[in-house]
Amino acid sequence: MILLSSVRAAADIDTVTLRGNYWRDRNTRVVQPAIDINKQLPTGTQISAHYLLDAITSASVAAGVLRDQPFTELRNEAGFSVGQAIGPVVVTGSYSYSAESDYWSHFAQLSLLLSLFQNNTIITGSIGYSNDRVALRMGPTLYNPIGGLQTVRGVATLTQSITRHLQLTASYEVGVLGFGSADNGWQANVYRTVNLGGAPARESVPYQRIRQAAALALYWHISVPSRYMPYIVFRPSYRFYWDDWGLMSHTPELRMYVPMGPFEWRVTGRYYSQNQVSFWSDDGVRPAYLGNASQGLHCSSCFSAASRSALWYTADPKLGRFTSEFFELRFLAKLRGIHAWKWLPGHDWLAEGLIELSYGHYVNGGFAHTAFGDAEVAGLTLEWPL
Amino acid sequence: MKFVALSFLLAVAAAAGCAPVKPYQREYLSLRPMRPTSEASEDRFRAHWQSSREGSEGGFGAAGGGCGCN
Repeated sequence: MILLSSVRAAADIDTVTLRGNYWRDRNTRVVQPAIDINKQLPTGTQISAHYLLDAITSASVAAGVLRDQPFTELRNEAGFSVGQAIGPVVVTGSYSYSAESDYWSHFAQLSLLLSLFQNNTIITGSIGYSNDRVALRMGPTLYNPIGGLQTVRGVATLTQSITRHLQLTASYEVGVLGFGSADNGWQANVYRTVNLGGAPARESVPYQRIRQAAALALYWHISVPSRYMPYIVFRPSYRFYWDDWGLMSHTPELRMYVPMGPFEWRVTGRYYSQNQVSFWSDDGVRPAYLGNASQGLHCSSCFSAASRSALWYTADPKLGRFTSEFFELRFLAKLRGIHAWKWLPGHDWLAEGLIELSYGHYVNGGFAHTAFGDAEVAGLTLEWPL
Repeated sequence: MKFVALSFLLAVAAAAGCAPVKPYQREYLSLRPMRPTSEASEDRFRAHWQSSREGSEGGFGAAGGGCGCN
């Protein structure tokens, strides 16, 4: 029993989830269908698999395109994981592969979960490795290999029950992206150019980046003396991020869940702020390297001596100083009403599922707004037990 | 900063040792909004588009895999 409950704490098991995501800003339209399957076997073995497709129906400025012009690109991603419960420990290995026309990525991860104190304390640790290849697309069938990126990242998470109504999750993540050369540390966009001393140049950023993030989330259940709305759940969270390129960010977020009969509403508010990387330069309106910076700037905060001594330049808006806000409303309904549809094959199983509809608005400020603008985010999810 | 981190770790350790919630008292903690992994698929998509618009990522677990930004 303890074994089963500890596994259940690790993931939402025995479900099949169909999800359609939609993203729209002034440069990019993305439709992303996805499927997730999670199943636990009687032996304590936990199996999951996912597949998603990014269908990008228009180009973005991040792709180096200065005008909104028709552009079609697909990214396929598939992955699986296998976990095994051994007493209070669950060992899980996972792998995923992502492919698009100019970027290919392998990602593998090993995770350990330890359940303690009657499931009141759950500690997880994981280490992941990715190996990516980057190319410059020359046409529909031609591309020129540019470099690669290898990353190693470790994550530690603690989930602690405080009371019957309150629990918290604390996590820390560290990642090393790249190891000092274009073959293992390529992190620039191959299409993006930057104003370097008045002339366009392909951007160049350090071949290593060391990222760290610490996050804390609370899950707070408040009972309400009402049969129609029996409780409210608040989920506040905060993340602090910093890396050796000199970028720091703060991300507070609040989610509120309000059930009403067979329905549930979720309201999300998120605020994000970041400073700029140490080799950032702009002319007050757009990224630009002029005057004393006309050859680029040193990454004075970088861990690697080679990154500190070389000159770098970027026009990536997300490496500059800006803020953003995100507001979202999600509606969830249980499909119990399908029980009455006796004519429908499998109606009893379908009635155990749920549907979610969400709509969000993303607001940018600063340089990111100059390049990207605001965005609309929507989602449709269907989930059933397996 | 070190004092805050140490206090936090001590508080968590103390809370863990108390085993405050018995297995039969987990009714509320097992509700869908109270489960950290109940929105994993949605969170993965959010992490992906956020990482294409913001300079930071991670902190709530590893997403991994692919660029989707070129």
